[in-house]
Amino acid sequence: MTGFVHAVTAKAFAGFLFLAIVFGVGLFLIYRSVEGLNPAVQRIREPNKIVELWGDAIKNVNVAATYMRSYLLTVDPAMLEKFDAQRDTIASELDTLRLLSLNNPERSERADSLVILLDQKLEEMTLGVVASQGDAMSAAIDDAVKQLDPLERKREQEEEVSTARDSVAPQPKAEEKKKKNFFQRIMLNKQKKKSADTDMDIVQLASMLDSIIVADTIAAVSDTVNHTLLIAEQLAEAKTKDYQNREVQLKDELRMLAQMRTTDSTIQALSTRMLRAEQEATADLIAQASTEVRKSSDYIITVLAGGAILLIVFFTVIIRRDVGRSAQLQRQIDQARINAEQLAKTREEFAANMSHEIRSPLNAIIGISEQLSKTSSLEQQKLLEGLIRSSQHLLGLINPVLDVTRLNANKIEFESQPFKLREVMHDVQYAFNQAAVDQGIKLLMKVSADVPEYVLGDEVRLRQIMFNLVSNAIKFTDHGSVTITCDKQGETADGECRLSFQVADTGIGIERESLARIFEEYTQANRGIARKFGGTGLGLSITRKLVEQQDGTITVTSEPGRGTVFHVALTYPIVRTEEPIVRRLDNNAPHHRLKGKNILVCDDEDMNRMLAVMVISNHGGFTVECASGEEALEKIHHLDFDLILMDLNLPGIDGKSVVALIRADGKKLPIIAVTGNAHEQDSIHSTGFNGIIIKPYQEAQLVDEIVRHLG
Amino acid sequence: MTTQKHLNLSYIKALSGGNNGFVVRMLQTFCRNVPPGMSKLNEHAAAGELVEVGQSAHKLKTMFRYVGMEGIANDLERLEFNLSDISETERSNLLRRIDQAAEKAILEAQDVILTTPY
Repeated sequence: MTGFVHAVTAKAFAGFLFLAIVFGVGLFLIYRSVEGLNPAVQRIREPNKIVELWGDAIKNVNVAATYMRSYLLTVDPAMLEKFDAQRDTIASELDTLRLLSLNNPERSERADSLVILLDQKLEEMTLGVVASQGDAMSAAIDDAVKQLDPLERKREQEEEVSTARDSVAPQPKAEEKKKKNFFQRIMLNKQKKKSADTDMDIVQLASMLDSIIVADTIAAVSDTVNHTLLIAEQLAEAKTKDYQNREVQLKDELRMLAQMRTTDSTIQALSTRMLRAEQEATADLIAQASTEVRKSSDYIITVLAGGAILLIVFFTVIIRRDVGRSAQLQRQIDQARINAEQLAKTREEFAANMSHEIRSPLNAIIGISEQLSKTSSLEQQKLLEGLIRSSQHLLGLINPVLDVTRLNANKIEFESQPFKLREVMHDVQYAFNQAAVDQGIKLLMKVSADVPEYVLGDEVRLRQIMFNLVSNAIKFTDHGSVTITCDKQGETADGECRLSFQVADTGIGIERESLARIFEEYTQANRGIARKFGGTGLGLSITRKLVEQQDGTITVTSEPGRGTVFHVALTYPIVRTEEPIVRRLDNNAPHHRLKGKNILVCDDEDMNRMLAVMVISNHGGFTVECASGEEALEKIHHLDFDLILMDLNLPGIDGKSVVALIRADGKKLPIIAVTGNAHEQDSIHSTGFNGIIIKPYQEAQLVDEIVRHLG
Repeated sequence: MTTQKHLNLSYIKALSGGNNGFVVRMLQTFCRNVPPGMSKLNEHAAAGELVEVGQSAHKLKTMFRYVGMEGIANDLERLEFNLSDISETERSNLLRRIDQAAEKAILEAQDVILTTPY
């Protein structure tokens, strides 16, 4: 059954282990799945390169516009250089932007649009610069200069106006002009115009022409007047053209500004669309990642939940099946236990009944045998003595069977009366002194000083326990000693005292493997013990039951060949009293004055002796019996007695004669007459008796009388 | 333990202190010793040995008192001390009554012995 339970437990454990593994794997996979969100989150957290580039490009275009405006205001070439550098930077950024947008058609389309728009804006800015320089004016002046060239050449020829001619601006270098790029050319034109503004603006040129005209008038008025007039006309015409060109230029500038605003608006709108598209792309990315994780988690959870359910069902079925089998086995075990208990009960009842049935006729056999022995010959008496001894032995075997039956049925009620521990222990010692002497061993006793004087409990059962243990110890000890000890182990707050009773012998000991079963019923250490020492094997079983039914413990330690120690622990409430507790005599309470006294009971009638012995023994006294005056004299001669109970009507030498002989021998021990004739009371003292008691006497009367004469 | 009609075991039980074994042993002794005592009493009475009759009656008297049969004990006491004053017929009747009582007492004592747990 235990193995079966273990198997069920193992299966249940395996089931839970599998489930735990499944859930663990599920959690791990879900964790891994959730971990998959991290790159997406990381990407989301990272700055959007396209948006950055986009913003940088727009910002740099604005910066370029700033440089351009600065240039227009300051005409500083450095500004133009910065504008040029900024344009390169913008071009690089736009290239990068287009490169990053290649994998996304929409994004690529937006990038292309931005590139076009920014290029357009730059071009517009460039064109704006060019337009603002007034190329038309330059062209008119150029025409005027061309018209003036013959005058220059003529003045050179005439060497009179060389200084004036030298002051005319140098001609631009064709090679250098060709080498300049678009923006450099713009700058160069600007420089040229600046120089013209500095050295020879239109007013100055007119003044110079007036000087020439004067000189020419002076030198050759007639040849040059027409020509000069022609120049003036051309200059006027150039001014008119310049004016017209400026108007056209202004219109162009306004148109360009409008175009630039339109471009800016387009760029702004494109940027807005780009930002929205990027935000949507980010949101799509998050949604896509979340969806993937959820799908993955859903799949894992579904698979694992399915697996878990299958496992639960599987193990539930298995465990339920096992539990069902377990319940069936349990029912079988319960039934078997009931049968066994019934069998044991029947066995005990049978043993008890048989013991009782055997005991009753056995008692009759003993009685008849004793009766026969009184009327038989000496030879027959010897045979009858053997019969009686055997019957008594048989009775001694049967009585424990009845005891153990009553103990097993819990039919023994334990008394709770105050008793004196030391007296019980001494009684035990006294009771077995002779047996120990007969066995050739010492019987020792040690009672600790701290053992309480009185305790509350069942004195008779304690005696029975100690009697069993000491009897066993003496039986199995053929040399050395048997030591009885009584120690106080402790005291509780409730006023209870834990007492340790120990019986240690130096006998044959018990094998280790036999120790465990010596307390079992009908069990002895080995079969040899039963053959050699006899017994039913119930003594220790009875002892253990007596101890345990008083909530005590009994243990044994032994070493073969060296001896055995039985240890009994019992707890008794302590009775604290200054006054000695004396039991009422009608309750058979022992009288401490009788304790240990040796009393000779001399009566030819068995029942008289039995009663006297019973009373004296109950009070701790020891008795020696005799049935005739002669026998009494012999006992008195060999043994010391504390008191004699003497029947008056003895066969042979009567009681009064015996007492006379005792007194004649000089013995002064108290002698109490026991008689059924009340009229003997008056004359008894004159015959050497110390007292008299009339049969049938009460226990208290006998005890009081004995105690009174014990002094 | 059955209820007794003739025996009164309260004295023995009181002295036994609840020890049924002692009660049983006392009754066993009673059953064992009364019959030979009665035989001796009758023999001595038949033989006209008055002193022996008195001695036998004395022994029996205490035993019957122990088992609470005071009437028989008193009859035996009459035989013990007043035998010479008793007529032959009365002596015979007395002895017969004692015999019958002893027989019933023994039977009852045996029943008690057999039915007393100890």
